[in-house]
This record gives sequence, structure tokens and C-alpha cells, in this order.
Amino acid sequence: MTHDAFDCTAALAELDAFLRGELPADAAERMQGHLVRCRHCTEIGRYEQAFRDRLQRLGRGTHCPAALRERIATLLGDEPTGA
Amino acid sequence: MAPSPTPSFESEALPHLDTLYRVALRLTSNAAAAEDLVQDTMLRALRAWGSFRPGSNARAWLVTILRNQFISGWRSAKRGAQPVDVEAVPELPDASDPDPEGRFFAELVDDEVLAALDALPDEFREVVVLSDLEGLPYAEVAEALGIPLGTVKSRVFRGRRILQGQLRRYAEESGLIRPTEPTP
Repeated sequence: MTHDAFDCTAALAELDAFLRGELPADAAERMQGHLVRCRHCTEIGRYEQAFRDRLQRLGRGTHCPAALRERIATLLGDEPTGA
Repeated sequence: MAPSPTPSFESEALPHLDTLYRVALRLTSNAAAAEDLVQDTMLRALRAWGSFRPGSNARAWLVTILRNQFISGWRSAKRGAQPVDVEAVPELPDASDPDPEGRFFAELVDDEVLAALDALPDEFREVVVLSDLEGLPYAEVAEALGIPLGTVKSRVFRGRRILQGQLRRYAEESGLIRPTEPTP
């Protein structure tokens, strides 16, 4: 695909991989070049990133309770392993 | 070359307890049920440890066991989510969004986000939780759920749209953004 052929349709198809950091360096650079020129795709990218950030904030705040951790450690100590 | 020794169950499984608990919490929508589900999962995993292939993905293996436990024993006890017409859900955001950069997401309180997540049908909630809350790569989600990669992506994209639509309704109701004009 030439640089000129990298339009919004092509950019949006790769946007998710770009936001997840999974695009190869040359493709990520091509995407950044498109985002600089395209307000529409930039807005969609920021919208998706804001959504992703909010969900990740939710995930980070929740941990396995200490009491459950201890209960599991005790149970594991009592069980013969299947190995 | 000699086969690598089987790692201990504790060293492979215990680091994933936070992930397992969060996934269980979102599958069951109930803290006590989530604790029981994680405990059952760990016991079952320990007994099956001999079938774990050293070097393969322990997190995906554990999530598979947790999900199987949930489906066999827990799902029936949970309220059924409203069915969604999957084909009617677009994969991209609405271009007429009054907050096109989604600033309102950061303003929503946890309870609103959790309520929207819990209202998602199971097939969408599990992929969104694994992919977007836990940050698992799509390939790992596919492995954990035993479904094709393309199905994972399709469900994640549609699950996000459903969730975003619900969160936008919360944002409208609480005055964070003005309501979207109905499309003529």
C-alpha cells in the first residue's frame, strides 16, 4: 500500500492495533502521519483511548482479597498436586 | 535436549490471582460468588496440573478453567442479560457524538461503569473484560475462551460499542454531556 492510499478506511482498520501498541514501527509511523492530518480519525482514536483508560482504571483498583489469598494458600498446601 | 522441569503450581498460578478474581467478579457480578469461583478454579487447576504444558500460557489456561467452572456451575444461577441484536451494533463510534473525544468516560463513577459492564451479555462481557480490563492480547483471549481470533475481535469491537452506548446514556442522564440529536 502506498502512503497516499492510506486513507481513513485503512487507518480505522489499524487503529485498534495502534492503540494496543501492536503495530510494527513502520505502520505505527504511517498511522501517526495520518492522525496529524486527519481530525476525524484523531477524534475516534482519542474516544477509544479515553474508553480504554477508564476500563483499565477500573481493573487496576480491584485485587484478590488477602483473606481469599490465604485460604487458597492453605488449601493448596493440603492438596496432593496433579503433576 | 532434556525437557524443562515442570514448574511448581504455586509459582505459575498464584501470580494470576488478581486477574482471576477480577474476571470472576465480572462474570458473577458478586464478590462472594467470585471468591468461591476463584477458589474452585485454583483447586481444579491444581488437580489438573499434570496436563499443563510447561512453557505454555498459564494465565490463559487458568482463565479457561475459571470460565468452564463458571459455565458449568455458576452461569445458571446468575440473572440473564438482555439479548442484543449483534448485527445491529456498529463497530465504530457514532460520528454525531456530542463529546467526540470521549472526555466524559473519565468523569463516570465506578458504579456506573460496573453496572454497564454487568449488563453486557456474557459473550461480549467476557471478551471485553479479558481484552480491555485485563489487557490480554487477542490471541490469549482466543486461547482462553477456545474461540477463533476473528470472533474475539468481532465480539470485542461490538461489546465496546454496546458498553460505550450505555456509558454515554449514563453521561447524558447525569448531565456530563448533552443528549445526542436523534438521526432524521
